[in-house]
Amino acid sequence: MNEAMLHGINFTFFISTLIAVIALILAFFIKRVKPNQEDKTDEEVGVQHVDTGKE
Amino acid sequence: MYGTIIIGALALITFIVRQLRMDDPMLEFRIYKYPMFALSSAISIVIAVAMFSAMILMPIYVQTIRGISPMDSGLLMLPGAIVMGIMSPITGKLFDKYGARILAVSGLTITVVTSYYFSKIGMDTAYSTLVLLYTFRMFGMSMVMMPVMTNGLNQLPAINNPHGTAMNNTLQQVSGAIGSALLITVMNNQTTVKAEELAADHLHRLQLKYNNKS
Repeated sequence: MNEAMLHGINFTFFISTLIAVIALILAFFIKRVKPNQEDKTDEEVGVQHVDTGKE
Repeated sequence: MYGTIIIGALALITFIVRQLRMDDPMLEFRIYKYPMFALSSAISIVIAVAMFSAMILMPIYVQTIRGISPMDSGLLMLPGAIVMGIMSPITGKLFDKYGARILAVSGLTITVVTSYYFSKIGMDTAYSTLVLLYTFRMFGMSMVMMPVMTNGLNQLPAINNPHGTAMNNTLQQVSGAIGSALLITVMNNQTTVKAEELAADHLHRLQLKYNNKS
């Protein structure tokens, strides 16, 4: 019975490895953003950021 | 069973629509217009699933399968917690200097590798190996969570910061709960499948033995 459970746990950790891989792929799309945009609060900030984010 | 899920989904949709129409919403959903915030939110959701499920699986493995005492299994997780505590100011400095991407990528690589090693543990894996693996996994996690979240929140204008924090916390709890439920179900199914397989195998061998004798 323990052996079966061990297999279950090993398998689940393998699934969580795959989930971590998804996170890793998403992490490659992170760009640096500059904080403090107090004067601009409109949606344009979001659009602008995509362009200027890669500094 | 599907009834409750449908009710939940309908309630969630109503909630979002209502929040979008209010002048002063309780939870501002428009923060998802900021792409980096949306991305960081997605990453932290995915990580929460991986992290909370490991938190549940570890005690099952250590205490139920290996029969290690609760005291010793608690001590097993202690170095990981300490590492997380020590790392958080260091990660903050590294974040200011190098940005979130390099930290998140290296941290997640560590997490992927250690998680993979966890999928290979057996009945006789040494206690020290488990401590080491768990500590490294926590080390990797500590480099991911905070920088990713901060990077996302940085994009929000100051007024929306409370909404961002609230949204992240809520989603992390929810995804952690759903994720661990999902993964525990996966574990139970696999356990049943393997148990049946082993039982059938055992029976087969007994039968062979019996046939040879007669």
